[in-house]
Amino acid sequence: MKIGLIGNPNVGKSLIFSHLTGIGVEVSNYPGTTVDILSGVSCINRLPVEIIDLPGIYSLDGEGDEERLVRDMVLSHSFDVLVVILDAVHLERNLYLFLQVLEHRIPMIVVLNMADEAEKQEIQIDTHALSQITGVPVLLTSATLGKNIAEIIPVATTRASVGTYQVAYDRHIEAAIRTLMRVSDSGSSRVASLLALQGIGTDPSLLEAARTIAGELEEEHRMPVSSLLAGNRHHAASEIHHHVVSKAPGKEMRGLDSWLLTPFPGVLIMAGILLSMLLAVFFIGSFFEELIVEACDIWVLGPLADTSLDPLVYELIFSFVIAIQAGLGIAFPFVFTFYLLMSVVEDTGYMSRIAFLADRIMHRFGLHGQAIIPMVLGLGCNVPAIMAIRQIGTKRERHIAAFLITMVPCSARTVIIAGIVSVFVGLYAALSIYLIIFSLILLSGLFLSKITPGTQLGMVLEVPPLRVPSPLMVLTRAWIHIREFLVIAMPLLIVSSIFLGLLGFYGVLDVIETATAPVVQGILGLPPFASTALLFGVLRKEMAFETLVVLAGTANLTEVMTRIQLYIFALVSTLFIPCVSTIAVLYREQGLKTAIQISLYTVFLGFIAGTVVHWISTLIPLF
Amino acid sequence: MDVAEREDTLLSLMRQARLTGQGGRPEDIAGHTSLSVEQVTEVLTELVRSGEVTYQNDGAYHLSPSGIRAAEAIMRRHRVLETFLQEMLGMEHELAHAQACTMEHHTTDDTINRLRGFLRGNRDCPVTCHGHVRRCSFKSLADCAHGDVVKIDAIRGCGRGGRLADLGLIPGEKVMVKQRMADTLLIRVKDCDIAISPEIARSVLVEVDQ
Repeated sequence: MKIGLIGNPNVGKSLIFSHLTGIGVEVSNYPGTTVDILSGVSCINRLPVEIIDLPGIYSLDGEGDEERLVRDMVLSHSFDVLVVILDAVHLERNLYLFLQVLEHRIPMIVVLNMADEAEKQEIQIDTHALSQITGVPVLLTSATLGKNIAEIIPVATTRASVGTYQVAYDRHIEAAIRTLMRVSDSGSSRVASLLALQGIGTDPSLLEAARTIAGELEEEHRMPVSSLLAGNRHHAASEIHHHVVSKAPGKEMRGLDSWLLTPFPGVLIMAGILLSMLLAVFFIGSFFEELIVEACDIWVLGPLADTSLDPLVYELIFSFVIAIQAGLGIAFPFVFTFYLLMSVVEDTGYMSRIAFLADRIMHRFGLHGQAIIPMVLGLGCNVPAIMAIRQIGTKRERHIAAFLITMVPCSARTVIIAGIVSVFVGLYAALSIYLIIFSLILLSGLFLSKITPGTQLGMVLEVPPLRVPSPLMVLTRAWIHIREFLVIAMPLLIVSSIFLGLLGFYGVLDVIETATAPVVQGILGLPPFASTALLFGVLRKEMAFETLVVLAGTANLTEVMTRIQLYIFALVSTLFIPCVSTIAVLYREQGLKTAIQISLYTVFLGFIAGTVVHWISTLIPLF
Repeated sequence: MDVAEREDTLLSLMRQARLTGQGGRPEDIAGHTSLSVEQVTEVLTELVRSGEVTYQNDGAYHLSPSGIRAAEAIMRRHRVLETFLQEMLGMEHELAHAQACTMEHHTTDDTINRLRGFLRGNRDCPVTCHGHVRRCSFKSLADCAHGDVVKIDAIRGCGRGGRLADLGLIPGEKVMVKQRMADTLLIRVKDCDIAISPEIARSVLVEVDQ
């Protein structure tokens, strides 16, 4: 048996899902999209029930990736039962989606979540009346308190019903539906006719007929059919809402938002939160990284060095272990810490407030507020951030966002800055690198918004009420984020580490060093072996650091390089060329041209920045 | 002399001149209007006296320059009235034409100008005209200040129209502007808060709630 959870974003759907399935959630990407679908298994009467958490959507008719995906899954009858999760506090708006789901005539139940919040706001909901009107069983739950959650599966498996309510559309639309239902020989359903009127469907004759009728309807009413339908549905929703909900008037809770959403002190608070997140990742990450790397050195690499293996086999095993060590050293301390904090921010609902506050400044770069979300995510790892650009608007916006996100210092670059500059040069020097990078991002944004052709669409983003994050949700979210990192990055890391090991073993590295020496030594003022390190930074950013240590033959880098050399090395390797995984995902998402443009642009930027710092350091002593 | 008779005669002469390029005889004009030949002759004599029409020896009457101006003004009144009746009130073309033919004579220029403005949906309507506030006070959400409560009138463009409609931004819906940060708005629709960019706000036309 398959049960689908469907609902608007921010209704506590994912939390209910976690309660129902516990640990052992499977995340899968639907073919052709980056939309995450979570599925898990729960048991009822010793029978397994598969539960699928669909992405949060506002409508089943929309054109977004998520809406299309959910619609396709619902239309193909992928579910035996749908659990429609509605927010009891904002029932009227939520009923809109429910009325659309009802049209698909799949057995379903309604779960009115956030009952505790509704009670706090003195909103009374007559669940019996709602069930009477719609013909679908209604459950009042509270996911945060765990109230009635255990009832969901039993009710869904035994009492789900297709419902009896039908939205009464405008008489012209009803007439159009009647006509369309007679078009094909077998007769099409009401919902197929409604979708066809909006140009959605697969039956060509139905679509053709619907196009003509829709044209007439639009002519008559002077608005698109989809708006007409939306109007009728909202009207029906408001009617039902009126029957079912009684609310104590005049209770407006604003609380923190009056602080968080104003230019002052809202913007300062935002800057503070983001900065403290970065610093927390920086310090917590460095601390744990050291522990992990040291432990690995003592318990694995030490014993390995004592064994007498064939040199080639030793090199292979050594590279493999190094890769695992690097992966763990970054993944858990930096990436996981970042995504853990990020998940807290996301779960409170602060993320959309950041988007609101940043909207104006993002407009300067030809973007809008929503684009700040992937950029902030990029601080963890650029790869999922670039995949998230799909959500934002037009081609122009995606192009600019791809450039800027690629420049955002990810966790791996944080490792370089923390491991080289912070340790050997000093904390302020490390922060100055961030300052340089962020200034370059700002300048690039201004520049790109001037030269990128295309149009700009603005942001429309719901700002949910602030909530206390639930630990369960935070962990789940963090796990989903880091899973993406582990699946994409780890295999690549291992392969490239072994590749590097073999190159060193067969002496290819020396050839590369000699070839690139003039540039690296002459222009950047770095020792020749740094070029190999920079080159391998392309495979995985933090490998630039690790390779440097390996090639220098000592972990105490100040023995072989000056402090200004270390600073330049870190700056260049953080700025120039995105890592292989990022280039691959850029190619997939934005096309070859953009991927090449971004790579060349960042190489240029990295060398310019390095050259300028080197030039300044020859004039005045910097460190 | 009746205004209607006088103006209909002018219009007939105008039509005659446009069709044939020549002046009109009383018989021709009587054929176009519902007047007798005697009545037409009487009206024409009157018009010759006021200088709008000249009589020439070929037995036909011609419009003078001031007569042409007068006739054009009447035609313009006719067009505005007919458009209004047909487009805004949804009358059949024949009926609208017939109605406009009788109304054109008694409508003042001021009324015609206002009607024309109304048809264009123009913004420079005087603030004092309460009669058609709905069309006059075109204002978008972007013009609203913090704390305003407005009603959506229409949504321009189709770009994000779908998403807006799904979130409850449909004509007739009440919207409160909760927060304004530069030009980015935080609005409350159906008890939910939604952040929208300035360009989106400009596409949502509202009427001020009174």
